[in-house]
Amino acid sequence: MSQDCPGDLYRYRETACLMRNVWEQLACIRGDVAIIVHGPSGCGWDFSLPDRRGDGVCHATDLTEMDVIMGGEEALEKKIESVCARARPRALFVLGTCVSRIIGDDARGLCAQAEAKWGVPVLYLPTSGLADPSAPEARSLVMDALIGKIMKPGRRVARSVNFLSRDWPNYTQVRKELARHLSALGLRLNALLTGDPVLEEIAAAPRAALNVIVSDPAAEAIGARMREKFGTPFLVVPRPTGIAATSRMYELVAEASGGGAGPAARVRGWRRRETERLPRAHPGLNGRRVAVLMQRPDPYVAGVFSELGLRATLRAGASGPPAASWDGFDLVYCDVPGTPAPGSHLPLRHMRPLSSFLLYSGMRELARELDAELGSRFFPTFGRYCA
Amino acid sequence: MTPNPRDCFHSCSILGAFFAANPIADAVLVYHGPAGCVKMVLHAACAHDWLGLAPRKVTLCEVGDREVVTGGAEKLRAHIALVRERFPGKHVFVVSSCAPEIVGDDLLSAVEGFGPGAVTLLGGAGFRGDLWAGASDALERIAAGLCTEAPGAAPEEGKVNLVGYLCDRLEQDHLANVRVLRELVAGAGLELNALFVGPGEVSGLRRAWAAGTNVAFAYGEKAAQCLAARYGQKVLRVEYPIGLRSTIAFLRALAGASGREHAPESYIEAKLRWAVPRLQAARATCLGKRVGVCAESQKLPGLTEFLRDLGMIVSWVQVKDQGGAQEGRAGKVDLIVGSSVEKYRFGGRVPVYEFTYPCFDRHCLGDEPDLGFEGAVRLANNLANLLSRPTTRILGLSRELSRLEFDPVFYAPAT
Repeated sequence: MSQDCPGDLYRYRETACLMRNVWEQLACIRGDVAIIVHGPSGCGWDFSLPDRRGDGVCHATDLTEMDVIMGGEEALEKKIESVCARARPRALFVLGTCVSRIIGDDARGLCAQAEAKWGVPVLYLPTSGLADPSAPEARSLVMDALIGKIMKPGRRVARSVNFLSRDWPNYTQVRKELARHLSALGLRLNALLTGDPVLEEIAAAPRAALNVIVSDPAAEAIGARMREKFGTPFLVVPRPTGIAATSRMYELVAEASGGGAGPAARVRGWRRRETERLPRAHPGLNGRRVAVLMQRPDPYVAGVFSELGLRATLRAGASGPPAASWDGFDLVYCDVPGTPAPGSHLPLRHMRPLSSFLLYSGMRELARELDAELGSRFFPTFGRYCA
Repeated sequence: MTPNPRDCFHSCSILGAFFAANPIADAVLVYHGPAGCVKMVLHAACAHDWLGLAPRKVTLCEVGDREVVTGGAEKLRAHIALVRERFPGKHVFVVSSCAPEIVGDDLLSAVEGFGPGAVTLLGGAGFRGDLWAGASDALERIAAGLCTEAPGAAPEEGKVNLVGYLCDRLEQDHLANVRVLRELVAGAGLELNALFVGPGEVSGLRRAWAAGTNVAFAYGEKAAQCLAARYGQKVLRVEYPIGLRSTIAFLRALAGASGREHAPESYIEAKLRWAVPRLQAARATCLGKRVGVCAESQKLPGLTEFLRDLGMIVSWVQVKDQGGAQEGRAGKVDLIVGSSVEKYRFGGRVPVYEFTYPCFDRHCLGDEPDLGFEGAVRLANNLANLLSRPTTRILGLSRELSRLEFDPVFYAPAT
């Protein structure tokens, strides 16, 4: 597609402004944090990130044409003063933009002065959108800043673990399930450094005895950095999507924490229970054929579907093969938005990526969604009108 | 107190340029800026427009570190040439951004190199203005860039151009608004010649010379003046036809400017006979309720007037595109008419009707206009639904029965 038309819509899925990505990472932190975008008002408001948390978190310096000519440092200084005086955040992040970078404002220097004055961490992050693709990934940039300034070393808490991953959903049940199962294994969840982390948890993260990294190169780099700075060992585990992968993750964590035979037997029990329970709860899924359309086919996905009793076939590419070859399938599962429907008679689900169905509860949710779609009579009746 | 910029919701002029040019079907938008700026535009499009952006409508001529150092005008020229080759027959709009304008790319000469009227530069630097300023500037540049041909004949008094309609999405509410505007113009005994900008094609806009009058909403005033200067047309400044009074004023202004003062009266009469009885039930629910309004200045006069017509007390008003100096206070009102911003801020405490820009959560898959008499009925309907929901849920139906005076009638048994 990109050879056909350089710079077309498909390209944009892979690119975004670094400032906005960093903002996304920071805005989900729960606690007294404030973010200042140092740029024009258009950068201070992002359509992808409506601030649902109310006032006082996100601010902007609203640089005007005059600031562009005369420099925006005064605007930033005033904004830092006003935010610190009014909101009293426990951490303040200042994000750079293309404009502040081109005009050469010394935002880093101002942040250092403000930090000395207000006694709270004031972090400048160079997040200009002009950065090329080799610039640090947003999550790494944020985690580096958090490791450097927010995390406070303290006495290590035995048998406690942190979880680090890339973009877990902010589901409360993920946190609850993780804490409950870890507790059953004799472990304690110290900090969940993904999804919607809590500022206090981030600060206390160095006290954990183990960092559990859910398979992701960027998260591994963060784990290495924490090992280097705080001496916390880390363990890489598979992505906990699917019953087998979730069980394996718990087994590995229990093993690394020196749990012995008891926890392993407990995990085997969970696995057996979930494997029996899901097909029993959703008999409508048994033996149905699903085509899984992915940009990058991953054989592991077929395994996840087979745990639900489905027969999955992986298909590659955004557009997939011609319509005729979709015959015999009951459902097309597709995690690429905007993919054209292969056949109007087939339900085509532009579903959330499988990576968002986490742990055992995630699998139950996936089963419920697929069961509802396969049980629906919508597409057989009205599908021809969708073409 | 300095207002929080997120409350003011100025947003970026790059979006204004997008909304001005997006409805034009046979056009391609070339964004000359950092990839993140275009991503923001696409986010707005996908979150705000359920009918979707036309495929390959937007292309990116990326400005990165290298272009900031060495200049990006050459790259833009090559990109436009490529787009023109790949999309023959499509008009090319170029939207700029902060970075190329700060480093001083000569975008105008890059655009003019393709000949007069072939490519139009729309501006877009965020430090120059907000969304509404961007839309207004872009409309002016669209008018100046597209309407270059000499008039084919003398302008006709019976035809008008409508200038300044902000079609911020292509869902059915906006498409219905365009239908209603066309009907209103016809109701005033006139014909709509060109709409700047609604769903249509470049050729339709190029024929703007055929109209005798440019009817301008607030954001279209500059574009209307530009057309008038070029073709010797009249300019008539009007308010958005929201609610009954504004719609009537719109019709009479249109007819008056064309010397047909009495033309719309029978249409107004018929429409009022249709609309007013329908508003009665909603008025009973709305009566005496305090409402906060947060709207762009273009919509505000008609909207507040109509809310008063419904018997509501307008407790506070926030003008979005003029600084937003007055802070909204959710606790003092029964209802807020605003946008998604107000919904996210106050929605947990007060019912919020998403009416002004942006409307992320209210979508329209059916023919549901906001303008004209139809729009008034629909607005009243939706506000009354929002207001009566908690009453019905919390107090039960007995209060609703009393309100509607559904007293039981007892018939004494015959003795």
